[in-house]
Amino acid sequence: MDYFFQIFTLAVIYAIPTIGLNLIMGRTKMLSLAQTSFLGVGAYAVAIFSGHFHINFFIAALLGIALSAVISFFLGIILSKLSEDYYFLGTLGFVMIFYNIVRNWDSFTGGAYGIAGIPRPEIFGFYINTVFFYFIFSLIVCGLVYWIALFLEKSSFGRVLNAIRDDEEALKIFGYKTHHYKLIVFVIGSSMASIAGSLFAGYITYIDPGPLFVSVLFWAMIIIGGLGSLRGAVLGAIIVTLLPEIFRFIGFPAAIAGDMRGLLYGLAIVLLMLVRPKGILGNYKV
Amino acid sequence: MNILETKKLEKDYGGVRAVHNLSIEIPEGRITGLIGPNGSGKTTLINLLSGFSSPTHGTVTISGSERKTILPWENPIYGLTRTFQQIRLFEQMSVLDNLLVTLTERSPFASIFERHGKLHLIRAGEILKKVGLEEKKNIFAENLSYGQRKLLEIARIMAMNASIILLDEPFAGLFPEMVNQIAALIKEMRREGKTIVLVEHNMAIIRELCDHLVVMDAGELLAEGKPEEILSRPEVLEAYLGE
Amino acid sequence: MGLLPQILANTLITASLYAIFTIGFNLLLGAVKFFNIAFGGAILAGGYGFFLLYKILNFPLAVAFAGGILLSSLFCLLSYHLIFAPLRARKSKNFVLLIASFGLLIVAQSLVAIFFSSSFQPLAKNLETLTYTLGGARFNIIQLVTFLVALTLSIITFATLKWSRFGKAVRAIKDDEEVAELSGINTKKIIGALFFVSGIFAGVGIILFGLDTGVDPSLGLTFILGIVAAVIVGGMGSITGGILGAVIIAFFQNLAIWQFSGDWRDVVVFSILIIVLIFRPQGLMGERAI
Repeated sequence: MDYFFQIFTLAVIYAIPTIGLNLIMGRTKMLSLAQTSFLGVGAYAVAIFSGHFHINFFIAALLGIALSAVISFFLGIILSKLSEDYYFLGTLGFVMIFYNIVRNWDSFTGGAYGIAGIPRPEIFGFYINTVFFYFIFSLIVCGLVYWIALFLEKSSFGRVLNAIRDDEEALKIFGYKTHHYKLIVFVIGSSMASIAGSLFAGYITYIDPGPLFVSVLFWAMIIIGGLGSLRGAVLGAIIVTLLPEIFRFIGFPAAIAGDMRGLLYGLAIVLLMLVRPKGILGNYKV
Repeated sequence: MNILETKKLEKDYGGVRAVHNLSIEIPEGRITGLIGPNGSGKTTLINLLSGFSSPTHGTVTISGSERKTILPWENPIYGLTRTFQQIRLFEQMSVLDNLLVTLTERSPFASIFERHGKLHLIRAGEILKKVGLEEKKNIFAENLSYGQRKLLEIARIMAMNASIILLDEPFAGLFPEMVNQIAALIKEMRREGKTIVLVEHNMAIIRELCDHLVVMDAGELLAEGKPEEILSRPEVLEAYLGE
Repeated sequence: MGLLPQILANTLITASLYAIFTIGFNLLLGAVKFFNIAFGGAILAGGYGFFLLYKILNFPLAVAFAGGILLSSLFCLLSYHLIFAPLRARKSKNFVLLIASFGLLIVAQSLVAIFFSSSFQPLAKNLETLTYTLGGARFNIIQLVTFLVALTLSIITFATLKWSRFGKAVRAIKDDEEVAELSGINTKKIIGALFFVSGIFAGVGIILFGLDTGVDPSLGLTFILGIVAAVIVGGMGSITGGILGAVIIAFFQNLAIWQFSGDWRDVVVFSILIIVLIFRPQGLMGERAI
């Protein structure tokens, strides 16, 4: 039973940046790889503020969100002039820069060794330190993020996003400063990734600049689940998190587990581009 | 009264002079036809007026104020709106949504908290009824017929309630009934005091609708004046026959 | 200033390596107009192919070299026939091709890590190599060969593009693929051949690099980023631009290593990439505005 909750907690945590990526990539076609970096920001924020300075988990997480918002704001502005391909390359460059900074800034981030012993989140003296409780906790947070995304979707803001996706240039005639919308979406989506990062750090209680940082995991999730679909984002997260667990049952050695997952994500991305770029639940025709 | 003026407008595309030394005046509250053979720079002019292209030289003056750098989203500020030669609708959105985007809040923050209120839906409903698309309001734009797409375009123009309307070949490829329907809508816009610039090839419609005519050829102004007079001029006929 | 000659030498060597890569990359970019990130996968295919043939199966150097290059070329050719040609046939948007190529790189990277582990593998067998000194700078024979190969390949490329029928067809496709097709050029075959040829450059570059230092799975991604930076700085699709960009990137890279430590080298390259993307996306010899 514990195993079940472990996997599902991870899936739920991963669904959050995927929902954010859905806003960014699925609606406004900004090809951003940077979700993993903002996940890192949230994770390190908790690790450092909560772990080192013993600040309350939730406040540390909020600091992480604030930091992500600021970074993504400036990154968004810097990259806003770029068209699709270059935007992608720009975010790829950012991901590598971020990864290298985290790895090399030993004194602050613990460098390649990372930070261990991150305390579990605590509310009013109650520690969320069993798998089951963490699962519920993550579910609640994910539900909140989902609700926010849904709220955006149903508002006029969501309609404008759809129009940007369909024909950004034509939309401008009607008086819309589309770059503002894209920037805000980017900041919101990145902040969501930060929330997930904080949850992740509190869950694993250890963070290091591992393969997760340069992973295309969220892309795989959003592509499989479907571009432009909120439910697709969640579905994609669940599928992509669960599927590699099958490998465990087949009995692949743990050493290559990470690479097997990478292989899976890469194959998924390629195959899906070939067969069904829309993804499973996607509603945007590519 | 001239609501729209260009002075020595120039647009070069790496050696090709799409628009050259163009100084024209568009009278207010009238329908001005913009005609000329293919490649004469009509659409380029529309792009220059609406900020989709920036002039290499020259000025554009709207309602007396000179537009220095024209950005597309500033069009509503100058009371301007336009259509495109290739119809540009939001394909994967419904007819209603296509219309609502023109009515709802432009500011990102305000739009987050706005769900389309009663007022927007009522106004959208009115317009859809006027163009006859009411029953299609939940259909995705990509599933409309060609004529219906043109109607949706016009509907959005009406919703914008602009004072200067630039139409790029609104009648292209339409059956006569549709042509009459859209012509009627344009006439109504003139009755409401709007200024309309109409790029068209259909001479019958030009004669019927236009109060004023501007003829372009090879990026330059060829002639300007009343339709009956202009269309009988030899150099105008030659420009068309020559193509 | 005693270090200056060494920095210049290092710059020249790194630039030679990147020049080889950018020629291959730009040939494709000019013709099919998308950033083929999977080129990084071809790099891995060539490098690890050589590793397998030379160090594990103990084939002679020349055979392993040819084998490695063949592998990287086949990787590119197959990627075209299986993935990019079908996608282009149905007029997929550029970002679909981009995403697919990125996925392919991840596949290659993962496969290589699974079969050969993630550790760094030197490709050379005897640890001693001939070193030379010239004007205060030290370099070894592999590095010298890299420079000479870069020079030779550049000349061959320019000559082929200018005078051969294949080269003319490639240039026609680069100008306007539809028109080229209409004028009788079998664009699919030429582009396929182009993919194969670009793979050669990938293989040559990585094997030379590996003989000098070594290979590891992350190199595909690292090199691709440097290649993209060089290509954008120099001007996309332009062979000359790519070489120029290679020199510039190599210069800043080595400058960074000298001033900061080697760890920050990548940060410098990626920062240059972002800066160029913002201020002059068409690069130095840019032929294509965004």
